Amino acid sequence: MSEGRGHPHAIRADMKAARNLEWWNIGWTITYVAALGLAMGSSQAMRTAWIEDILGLIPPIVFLISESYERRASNARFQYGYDRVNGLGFLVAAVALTAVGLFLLKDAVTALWTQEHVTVGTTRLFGHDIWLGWFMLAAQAYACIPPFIIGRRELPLAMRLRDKLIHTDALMNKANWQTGLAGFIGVALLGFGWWWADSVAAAIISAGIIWDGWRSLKIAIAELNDGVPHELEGGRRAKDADAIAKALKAQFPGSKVLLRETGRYIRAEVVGAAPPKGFDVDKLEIEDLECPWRLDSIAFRP
Amino acid sequence: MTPGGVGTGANALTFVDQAIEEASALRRWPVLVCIALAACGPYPRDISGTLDAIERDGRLRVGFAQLTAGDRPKAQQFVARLEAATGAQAEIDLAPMETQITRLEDGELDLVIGEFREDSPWMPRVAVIEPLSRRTVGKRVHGLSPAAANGENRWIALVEREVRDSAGRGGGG
Repeated sequence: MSEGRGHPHAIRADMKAARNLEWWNIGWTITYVAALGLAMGSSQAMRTAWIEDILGLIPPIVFLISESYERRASNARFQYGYDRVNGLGFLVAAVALTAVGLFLLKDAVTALWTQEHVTVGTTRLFGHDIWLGWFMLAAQAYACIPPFIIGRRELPLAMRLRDKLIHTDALMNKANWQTGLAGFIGVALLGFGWWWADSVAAAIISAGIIWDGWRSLKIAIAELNDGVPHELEGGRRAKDADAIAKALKAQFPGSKVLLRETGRYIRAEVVGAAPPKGFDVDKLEIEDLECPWRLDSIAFRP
Repeated sequence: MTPGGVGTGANALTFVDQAIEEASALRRWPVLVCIALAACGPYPRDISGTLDAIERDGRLRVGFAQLTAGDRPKAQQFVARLEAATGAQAEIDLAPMETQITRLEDGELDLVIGEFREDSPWMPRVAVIEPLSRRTVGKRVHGLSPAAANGENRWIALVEREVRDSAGRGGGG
């Protein structure tokens, strides 16, 4: 955290668990990306789901990179440490996500407009001709399982660590298994001769990607623009932020308290008051502060 | 075990066990859906019902395009296989590739047989099936292939089966 080295003691165990979970996430994602890649053929829905799943690798990779930076101590060039690397990587991922989502939506709408009929052929295995759609359905079904499990495990960790990247990844995993289901239905209906089902499924999946990207963009921009800390879910102002502001206003009546979010941490500034002699931020009593480790520093502007 | 329920070594095994347990809720639905699909009659089906129409009307409309003297008997032999497989009588005509592909796309033909390059520009417009035979022209390989309208997946599956059986091959795709 900031000028120190390593994460605060209170979150070290959770950070280690998060690192392990994200490695599992990457490993599992590679398995179902490979399965979908081998089976996708010319199905638009499968191709879109495949690209979405590849994009799903971005948040865990960005988390692992940014977490390794976050552990580093500040230095002469980065005197506040690397708390914001997480947000920076998040912004890059969000832009890529939104752009690819728009591109895939255009593809799906074009296929619907031109009434593209998708061909799914057969392959001969052990003397039997097998429709490639069965492999697509199997790959799509498998691709729903890892995101379902990983996403459920990420949510509580994200809440405890106040980690936007893990939280967004959990939501993306939720979207991934739901859109995987849409892709499964699209291919299944294509088998019934419903030509539009595959493109409609692709359009639904790309809309999901755009939604993920847009939501991530809003969060990343808010943080990089020194926004007030907000809850991970619901978009409300963070309870911890309210607790800190209340405590500081009580201690320094007549002053103005400004708060900003730096990664998972909160930095406060008291305007119109000077720090009392021997003021120690660690000894400040803050009622209702759920995560004391989040309060990184308090600056004064008399 | 770390607080998130994920660890290394022995704990990694626990994670896999837990994951399998959690996945058990999702394990059955794809199998059930596939059984249900297979139970719903012919699957996959054609988007425009080509094979149904061939079997119902007893007519198989085939267009030959730019066949060499050596390819023509192979193409005719293959059409005879399709007649036997569908129980339909073939109606064959000859025209340039552009005309035949357009007629196939418009639903006036059920199948076109002609020479296609491996990187043929017709590929995205129609479903070019595995070749009945190949020959090298300059640096490129040309295949004598049947082509069907895109999306006629049941009909394409039947044609693919007949191509493989006619060649006596075990692989394909």
